[in-house]
Order: sequence, then C-alpha cells, then structure tokens
Amino acid sequence: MHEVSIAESILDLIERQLGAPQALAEVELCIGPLSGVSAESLEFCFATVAKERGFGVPGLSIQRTQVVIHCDSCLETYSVDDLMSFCPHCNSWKRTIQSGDELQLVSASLIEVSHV
Amino acid sequence: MCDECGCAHPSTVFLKNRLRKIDLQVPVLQANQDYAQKNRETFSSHGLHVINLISSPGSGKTTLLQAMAAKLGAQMAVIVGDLQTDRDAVRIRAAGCQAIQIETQGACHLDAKSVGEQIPLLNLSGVKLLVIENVGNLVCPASYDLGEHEKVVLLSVTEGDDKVLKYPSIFSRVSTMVLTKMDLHPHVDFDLNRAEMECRSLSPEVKCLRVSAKTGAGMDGLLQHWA
Ligand SMILES: [Zn+2]
Repeated sequence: MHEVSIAESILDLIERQLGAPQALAEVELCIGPLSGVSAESLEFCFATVAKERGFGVPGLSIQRTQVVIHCDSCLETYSVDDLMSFCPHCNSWKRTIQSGDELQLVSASLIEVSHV
Repeated sequence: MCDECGCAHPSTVFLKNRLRKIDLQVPVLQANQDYAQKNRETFSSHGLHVINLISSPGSGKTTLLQAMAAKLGAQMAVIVGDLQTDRDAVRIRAAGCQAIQIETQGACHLDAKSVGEQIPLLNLSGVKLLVIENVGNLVCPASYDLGEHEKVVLLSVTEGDDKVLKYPSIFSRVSTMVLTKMDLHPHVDFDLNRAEMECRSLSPEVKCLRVSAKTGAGMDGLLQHWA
C-alpha cells in the first residue's frame, strides 16, 4: 500500500502552493481505475496524514473516472470500471485504452479564520 | 490575544470561518515526474538503455538478472530496490556485473529521486543496459516513473495466468512482458497464450517473451531484444 506516500505527495503540492500548512476543509482529486491508487485506501489514511502535518482534518472528494476504450475491431468507444471483460458490442479483445490512469489534484478548500 | 488564531485581536468571540477554494489541477506525482525527466536526460546522455523491472515477489527476478549478468558482464549494471537486505545485490554482483542497492525502508516502490541519487555512484563507462529492479509487487511501482525507457514486467508460470487483468495498471504500461520459470511450465496449469493475449489487450504493442533462467531457454532472445 502506497497511499500514505500518495497522501504525502498531495500535501507537498498544497504546501508548496500555500507556503506553509494551513487548515483545509476539503481536497478534491480525480482518480482513474488505472492509476494504481486505491481511492478507498487513500480516503482511509488521508485525514490522519493531513492532521499530523498541520492541515487540520480535511475531507476528501474523489471524482472517479472510468477507463475509456476504443475497440479496434468494431470501432466503438466504450467506458468500463475494470478491464476484466472485453468489448460489450463485439467481445473483441483488440482494444486501445484511451484514458483511465488519471491521478490529479483538482483543488483544495482552505479554512480562513477572520474576526468579524 | 485571540486564543483561536494567536493574533493580537483582543477577542476570540466573533470569529468567522470562510472557505477559500484554490484550483490546482496538477498531477499528484508531478514532483516525481520532474525527477524522472531529469533521470531520463542523464540516462540518455550516457547512452544507456534503462529498464524498470517490475514483478511480484518470487517471480524469479534476481535469478533472471543473475543469468543476464553472466552473459552481459560489465555491459550491464543493476540498481536493486530491496526492503532491507542487500542479498539480491550481492547475488547479482557475484554473477559478474555492478549492482547497488537502494534500501527502501519499508516503501513498496522506488521513486525517481531515490534512483537519481544512485546514478553518480555507478561507474557507467562501458555500461549499455541499466536495469532497475523495483520492489516486488505489481501495484505500487506502476504509478512511479523512474525515468526508464521501458517498463518490463515479469510473470512466472507458477503465479497463475489470471494475473494480467487483475493488475491492469501495470500491464497497461509495459512494453515487454517476460514469462519466467518456463522450465516449470509442464508441471503447472498456466495458459501462456491467455496471459499474452490479455497483456496485448492492455498494451497492444507489448513484446512477449518466454524464458527459463535455469535452463537458459529463451535467454538469447531476451538479450537480443535489448541489444
Ligand atoms: Zn467491439
């Protein structure tokens, strides 16, 4: 499991952007089935890692993409969550993966405390 | 002083939390990719072909590297990612080529920075092929570009022919798949064609090879492939 180091990488990017750790309400990610990263494991460890580094206890909002595949036999394009089965139109295994390996940090929501 | 945020404001009572959303849109592993790009430039400037070798534990990686070292000698160098011991590096060195070890200290994958730190420690004169033996698993190493020219996955016939579609993140990124321990194939139920067909369904251009490091079968073809 390398989701702790993925969490560290996310926080490194945010810290570089902000200059220093700051309380976060939410972090938004985009994760594809071919990223090699388990969204569930990341959800499980993210708040703990963030808290240790002084980012508060942020929620994680994960947009899960599908794998987009072009069938090289019938030329249809289709989307799936996993690659266990072949083309739903013609059952061909000749296919070209077009996307699905996303591992993107989309945004971070900061909690800004101000006096009224 | 305000107890809430430590500022000089006399009151903590009237605090308001506001959210400020910042758009980032950056790959999570951007820093690793930057290091990988630097490594790739270094590798190219030395005229090296660099392989990131990925497999499950027990797939015969070190045995294969020993057999390759015996044939290629000083033309090959190996960087070994190992959890604790330098046993694998010692075995490869004994077979005749340079090998240095990265202690991964529990990490389940190598990253580009740790590989880059090893490059100055290698004597690269005369070396044509650099093999980076990644930590043994089929999941975590897939996400981390090390600056290699190609990812190579080993799958031993003792592991089961259904592994390809179970680990699509790695099998969709490989340019070569090597089926190992072919000498044991008569004794196991492993459909070679199925594994190769499924790998091609994820990586249409993949080159599939079958070897036995023990008997030497297929070794010449493997070395020619990287020559
Ligand atoms: Zn089709």
